[in-house]
Amino acid sequence: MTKVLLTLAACLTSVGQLFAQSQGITYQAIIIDRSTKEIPGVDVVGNYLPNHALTVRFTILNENDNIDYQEEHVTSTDDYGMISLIIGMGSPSSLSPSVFGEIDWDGSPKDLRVEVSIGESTSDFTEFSFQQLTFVPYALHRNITATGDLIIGGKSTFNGEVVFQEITVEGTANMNGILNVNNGSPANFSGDLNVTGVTTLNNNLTVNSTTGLNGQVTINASLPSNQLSKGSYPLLVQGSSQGIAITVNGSRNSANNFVSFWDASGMHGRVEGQTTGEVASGFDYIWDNAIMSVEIGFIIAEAACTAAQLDACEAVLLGTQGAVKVAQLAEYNIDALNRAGVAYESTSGDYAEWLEKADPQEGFSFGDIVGVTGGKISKRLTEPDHFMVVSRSPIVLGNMPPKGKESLYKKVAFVGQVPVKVRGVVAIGDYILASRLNDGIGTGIHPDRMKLDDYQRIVGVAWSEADNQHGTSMVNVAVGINSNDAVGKIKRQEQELISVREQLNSVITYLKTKDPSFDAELLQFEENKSRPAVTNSTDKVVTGQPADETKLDVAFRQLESDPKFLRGVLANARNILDEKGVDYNLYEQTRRLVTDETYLIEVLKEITGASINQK
Amino acid sequence: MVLLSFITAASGQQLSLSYGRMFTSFDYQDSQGNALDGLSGTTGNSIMVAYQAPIAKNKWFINTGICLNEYGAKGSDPAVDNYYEWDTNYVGINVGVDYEFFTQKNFFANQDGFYFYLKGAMSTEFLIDGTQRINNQLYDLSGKEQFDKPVFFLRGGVGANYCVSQRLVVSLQYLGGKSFPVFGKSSADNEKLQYVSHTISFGLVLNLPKCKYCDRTF
Repeated sequence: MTKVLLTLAACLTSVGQLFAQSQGITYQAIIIDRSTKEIPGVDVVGNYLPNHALTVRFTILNENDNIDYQEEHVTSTDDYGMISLIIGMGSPSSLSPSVFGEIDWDGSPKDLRVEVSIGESTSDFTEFSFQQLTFVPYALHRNITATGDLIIGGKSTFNGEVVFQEITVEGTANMNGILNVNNGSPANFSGDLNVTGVTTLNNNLTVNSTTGLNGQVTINASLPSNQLSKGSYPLLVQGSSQGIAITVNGSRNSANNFVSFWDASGMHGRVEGQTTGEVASGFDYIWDNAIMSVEIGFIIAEAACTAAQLDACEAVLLGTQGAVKVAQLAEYNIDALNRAGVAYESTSGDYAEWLEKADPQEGFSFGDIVGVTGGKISKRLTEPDHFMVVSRSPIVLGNMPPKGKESLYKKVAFVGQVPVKVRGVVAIGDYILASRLNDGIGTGIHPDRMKLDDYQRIVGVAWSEADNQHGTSMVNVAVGINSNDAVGKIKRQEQELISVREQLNSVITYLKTKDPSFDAELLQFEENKSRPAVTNSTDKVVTGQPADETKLDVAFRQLESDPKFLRGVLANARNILDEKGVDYNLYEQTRRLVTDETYLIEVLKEITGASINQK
Repeated sequence: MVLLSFITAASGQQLSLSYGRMFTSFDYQDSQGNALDGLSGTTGNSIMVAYQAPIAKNKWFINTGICLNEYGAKGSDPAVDNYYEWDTNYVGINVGVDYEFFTQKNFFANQDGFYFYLKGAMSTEFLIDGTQRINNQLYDLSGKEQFDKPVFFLRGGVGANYCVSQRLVVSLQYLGGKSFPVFGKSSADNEKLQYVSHTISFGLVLNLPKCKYCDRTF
């Protein structure tokens, strides 16, 4: 009996290892007998075929109509003509190039051919189904639950939300949209993290290793304004015995600021680099070199002029002086160049400390002159140890008061420039003296009009002038740099005392000549006692000159009296500077110092001061 | 014409109208000679109008008439869950012969009483309408094989007449029979169908004028 079969239903597919089952595609079908069953009248067609043995052959064809896989199932229909098979669990035929698990599901079109052999011969197959394998509708449009591996060779597009309990990406993962890591879950990166766009961190950032920031870092922290709390500072560096190390590109120089200080109106201070070249081209350095060179030049000129008149000891002594001076110049240069480091620059001009008020209720304002006794300040002290000035904006401020007691202290300038309240006219160079009214206001007085009592009331030297004859004004005053101001005065008094002593000795000598019994002890005067003996100090002359007379003092007199000698000194000084590479032409003062004979004399007068005039 | 002349000459002509219930079934074989299992019979109606005349010493009667018979069958095939049912109506021409083999005098009157007879008949019947149901599908049997040809029946039975009056006779009759096979579309096809019927009918017989059927004495 030959029968032609028809398949009514259908493939319910599940590819892969669902719930640890074997791989395969479930296949169910009802076998319909398309032969006619004869009955009276209209014959019956399309009966299903129950309990009938048959062989089913499945063939999966690729897009080139070549066989990817073929297998056969020997089975039978059930009471209702149905067969239930799993494609992949049959017996692969000899034409099958691979087993089911090795089919390359590469996304290319594949077809399924189903053939049935229902006769006695299992090779007499009749094709009754040929259809394209497509996505399982449920898998395409509904949830997919899989516990096994899912291998996707091609591009996958997820148009909706994708939820992974765990995901491992072996290759590059490109995300063209937003990446959110939710629920406070951490994101761990074992490798480098490269972020091209702007990175915003809304919470704490902890970096446990070395951190390199190649761009400018701006810290915009909204913090309390309590300056005594560490929590008020946007940048807190801790955890080490060292603080902050700052390295600028290249070598340090004045164009490189290690730190600068700004506010809304601009920069108000900086810590900048300083090179040896900048030191060598500085005015101070060149000036000091010029002065020393003049001294050496004088020694050389003196040796040249008096060589024939010197004995051996004097020649050795003069040579030694010259060598020592040359060594001093070399030492100065080495020390000056070695000190090139960093400089702190600020618009503020003084160095100050907090000093306690003698009377906590007393009021002060900047520029007030205050008396200091025992470290406490007051404007009402009659004979204080020192007179100082309340500072406005010191560059350095020490002796910070205890927390909460700032009102009991004031900032008092120790060294530097500070505005000071003055009354009347003040000229540049005037001494500023504390007034005797104890009102915190000073007065200016020219150095030539200073009296001895005035020295104990000196506050500083005016570096600006005031022309308010009847009122008060502010002048810029240099404080803390005039500790030796009284020295010249004392020297003159000492000189006068020596002169008086010498005159008294002459009187005693004369009296002893007239009266040998004259006892000088009656005058309680130590006869012939003079100033200490001449020392071997290298900066003192040793013959026929006062012990406090320096080489410059001697040079002044000799230079002033001998123009030829003076020109020789200048030539020698220029040679020395040229040999050392000091560019004295950089500044007008240094150039004139070693080229202008008149200017040199003026400078020497300035340096030696009134002592020379007294001699 | 000879038969008609013979009947016309007779003196016992009758007209009859009978109605009965017919139990029918199919005897079927497919082209492979297999019977259709699971068939059972159905019950239908049978109506006949006939003319009868005596022949040969009033023991033999010949009759002819028109009949309307309802044949049917039903069955199922549990293996494939099929259900079948046929319902057909045939009209035919019937010719029969009765042989009266026993009479019984009326016990209540001095008149003819019961007349028992044997009956043989043949008929040719034609389908006037019919339907076939296969599961839930209903088909018209007109023109379908086995139903597109006249059916020839042979029937035999027994009956009894009772003269109610000189003119009226009532009858009760059983008639069973089977048709000749009705084959498929081709003669080579061995598929064949035969009808089997069993009819019990009640009839009224009107004695035409000059009919002496109930005037006979015993």
